[in-house]
Amino acid sequence: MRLLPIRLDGLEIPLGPGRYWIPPYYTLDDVERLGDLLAPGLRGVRYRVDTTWSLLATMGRKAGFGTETLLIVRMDDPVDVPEDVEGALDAVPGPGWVFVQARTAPAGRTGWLEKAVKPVVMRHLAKVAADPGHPLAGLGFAALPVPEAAALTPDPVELVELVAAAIDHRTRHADRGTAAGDWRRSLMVAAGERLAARLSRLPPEEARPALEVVLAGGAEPPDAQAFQAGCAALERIGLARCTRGHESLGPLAARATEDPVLAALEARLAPEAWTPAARGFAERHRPPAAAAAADLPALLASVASAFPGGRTDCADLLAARVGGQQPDLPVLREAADVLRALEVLPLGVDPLPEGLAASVVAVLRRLDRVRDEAPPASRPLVDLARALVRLYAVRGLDLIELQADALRDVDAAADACAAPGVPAPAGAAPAPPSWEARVRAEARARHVAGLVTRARSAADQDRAIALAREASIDELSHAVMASYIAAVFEARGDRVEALRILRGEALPVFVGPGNTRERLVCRAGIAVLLLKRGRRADRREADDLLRSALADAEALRIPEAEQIRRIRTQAGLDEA
Amino acid sequence: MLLPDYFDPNAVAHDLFVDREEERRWFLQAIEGYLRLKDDRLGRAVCITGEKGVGKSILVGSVFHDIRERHSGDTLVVEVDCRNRRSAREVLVRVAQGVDEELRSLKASLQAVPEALIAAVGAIEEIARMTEVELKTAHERLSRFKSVVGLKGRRRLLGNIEAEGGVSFERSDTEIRSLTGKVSFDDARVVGLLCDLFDAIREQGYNVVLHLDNLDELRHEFLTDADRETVRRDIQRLLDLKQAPIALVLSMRLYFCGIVPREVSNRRILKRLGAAHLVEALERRLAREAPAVRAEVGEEPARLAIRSLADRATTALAFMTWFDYVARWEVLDPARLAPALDRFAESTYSVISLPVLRRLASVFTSPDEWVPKERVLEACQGNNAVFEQLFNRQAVLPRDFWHPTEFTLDPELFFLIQPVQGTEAGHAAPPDPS
Repeated sequence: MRLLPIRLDGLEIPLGPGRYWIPPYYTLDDVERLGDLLAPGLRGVRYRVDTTWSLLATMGRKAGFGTETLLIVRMDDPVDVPEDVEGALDAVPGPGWVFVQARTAPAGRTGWLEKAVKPVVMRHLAKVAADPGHPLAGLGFAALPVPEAAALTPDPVELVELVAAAIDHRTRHADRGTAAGDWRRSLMVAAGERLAARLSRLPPEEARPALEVVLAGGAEPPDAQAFQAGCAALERIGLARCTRGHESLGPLAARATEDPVLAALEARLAPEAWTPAARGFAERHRPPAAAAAADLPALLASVASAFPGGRTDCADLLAARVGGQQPDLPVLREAADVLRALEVLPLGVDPLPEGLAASVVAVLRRLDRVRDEAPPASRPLVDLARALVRLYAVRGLDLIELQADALRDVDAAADACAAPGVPAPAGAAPAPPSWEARVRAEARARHVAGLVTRARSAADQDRAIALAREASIDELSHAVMASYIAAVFEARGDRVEALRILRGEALPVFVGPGNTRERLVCRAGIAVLLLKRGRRADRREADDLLRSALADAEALRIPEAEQIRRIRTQAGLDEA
Repeated sequence: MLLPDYFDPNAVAHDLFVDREEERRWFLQAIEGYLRLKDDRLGRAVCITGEKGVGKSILVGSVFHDIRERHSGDTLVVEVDCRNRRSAREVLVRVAQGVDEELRSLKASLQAVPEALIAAVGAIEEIARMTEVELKTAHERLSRFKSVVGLKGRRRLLGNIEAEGGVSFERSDTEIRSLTGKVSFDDARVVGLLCDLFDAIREQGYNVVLHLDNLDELRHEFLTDADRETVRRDIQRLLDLKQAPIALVLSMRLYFCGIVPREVSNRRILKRLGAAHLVEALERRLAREAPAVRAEVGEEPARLAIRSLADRATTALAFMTWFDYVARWEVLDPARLAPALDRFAESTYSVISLPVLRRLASVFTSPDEWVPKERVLEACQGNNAVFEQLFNRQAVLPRDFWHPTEFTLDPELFFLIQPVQGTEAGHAAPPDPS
């Protein structure tokens, strides 16, 4: 489900014929994208000519541009830019619209981008976001934070790219939520990544002071010379304006110290750019939770606890480590990139399609190369990434053995990462049952459910019950299995046994902490069985159970709440 | 969140014009007066000024619509937006191009426009693109306009091209190849030649109405003496076009009009529209929208919010821009306007942080107050880079462009100062710097 790039058809750009300065820091791709955005939207433009200063000089007066021509003169090589830019352009006959890039743009001369073009792009994005037929409408797309994105940049091209990156991030993390706050968080992550990309255009010796200025956030510079160098570098890449010893950070750089922006910046910016001073500034701004997340054992524990739940983003967790001070940061970044790349592939397809298999093989080979070049201490991390890649590839498949193998590899790699030289976090909880066992149990439970629904004969049902009992590995999984077994007895018409199992084997386990959903489902199940039994004496207990289940469901804000209300209405309990 | 399909705060279509009937009548009469002149060597200059966004362009557009309706057979209406032109020369080139387009349009409508006249326009446009060139090159570049020699009448144009630049359309190729030396056409010469061209056009029986719009935006650079001097030179050169036998319409912001000479006596300052007229203008702009959009705007909270915005706005542009933002991205609810407008400021002036804008606004006690530069710098906490950003982004505007000692906020940021009590009669106009 890739919806990018955002189509920008049908814009009407309110720019009359004239001469417009393109920001000097634009890359050639940026210039191209700007041309693509403007050309179709300028009323009266019939032709678009993209050229460079050297080609323009060659073409000279022979080109004969008409007034319906849009001319883009980009700066491939600053050496080619004439001293008298205005004079050189004055001599070019005809073009109605000239968009010109030179070594410097006169102060305030790129303001047209924000004044005239950005509002049009914003309006367009508003329509895209509000379109009920949009494929992402179901993901809360209407909450796309376009004004917030517009506050991050004066540049409409960058605005579109920020929004596109936010969409990309949110669609990859849709399982974690698609409320307005989730979209905003994705935007801030996109902002951090964008900031890192802009800073990465600088050579390391310039990126270092530039990053210090960004992270200092207006604090007194410890080294005036480095501060000036940093400001100059930031101005070159369009992240700040500098005048007479003062700097004014652009909106993107000004947000660098905010939580998700900083984390994404740390994840994406090469370690060469980080000086101890920059690290110090970052630490000062890092919220406590993020600081903890930078700890390797905690990271691995997070991976371990997150995975059994289904889709999760190990890439982010790995990327969070990039900001740490371990010697393995490039390896981590590579691993995270690979995982990100892999995550966009379709999942849950059985059998594994040829294209997906080829992609998995390709990324595994890439990681093999990374492993060969990595220092020995970093190799466990590559192994962890490799294991995660395999897990990503099979996680949606109904192939228990394959998943179990992949999980066993992840466990082993995670243990290897965490073991030597890395202290365990103080007060760490005892290790949960191994992933393999947990997944095997849950997968078998799903099989049991499938068998039960398909089973027609009593013999088949007995086999399903036996399988379910085998799948239990601890108290909790036993309770889950018991729910399935109760369903088998109910299907046979033995409500008494079903009730006994639910009341005696399942519910007592679910009343413990952390099992709210299982508890409310179980209570509702017992209540339904009681109501079906049709005894007047059972109604009070059924009502109590349903009320309790409803309170839990409402607290969790899950759809089961509505189902429980319906049950109560149908049973006439809400009239009491 | 409302999604109007057509609404554009900057639209200046003639049918969106409201109120100002008196100003419209005055302006129309001034142009009609020129069109009725018996002596085709005479022209007329008209100057329309007012605050940024007060409605100058829409007034001109409305009158030009009528002029085109009534006089399209014999009148060239040329409009040149000086915004985003870098120099007087670029404007002059555009003027020549505009004349060329109008003449060709007349010709396309089966008017007997002489070829020589069209060639003359082409030649002037070509000359306007020359600064200093080899004489030989100038002849080569102008050789395709040789039919200009057939231009009948006073022929001052050809004579001046020869006298000013030593360029003759009657030289043979052999003569041209043997030419040496250079020729330069400075702005004054180009303006002179354009005046000659207009003279020739008038002599052929056509009128010319030329609108130089947004003169103040040619170069909105006024912080140093050198900046202002450059702008002054360029503008004065353009104002020399008033010597031509045309109706020259100049529109510019009020703080800029100190440069307009006394002889341009036809001038009018547009006053602010009252809240009721702003709402009427909005309704007119929404007329094309889908019924659902109009219905939503007509509901009670939205109407109150719109009225509240109209009360705060001092200019039509500020009002329309606020409405556009709030309607599309926020909720038209009077109780939620303040944070909505803050977010408007953040997304519209992204290079200036909201705290800076707030500090700046706190310097003013009312939208009509002007403060010295030092207080603006204070609001920037002495940061020159931030200070420059305010000017570059036109968040701060001068009281007088030519003596920039006092400043106010862009009207689109007035909501940061304090709510303006709007009245049916409209707001008072700011003081005239001239």
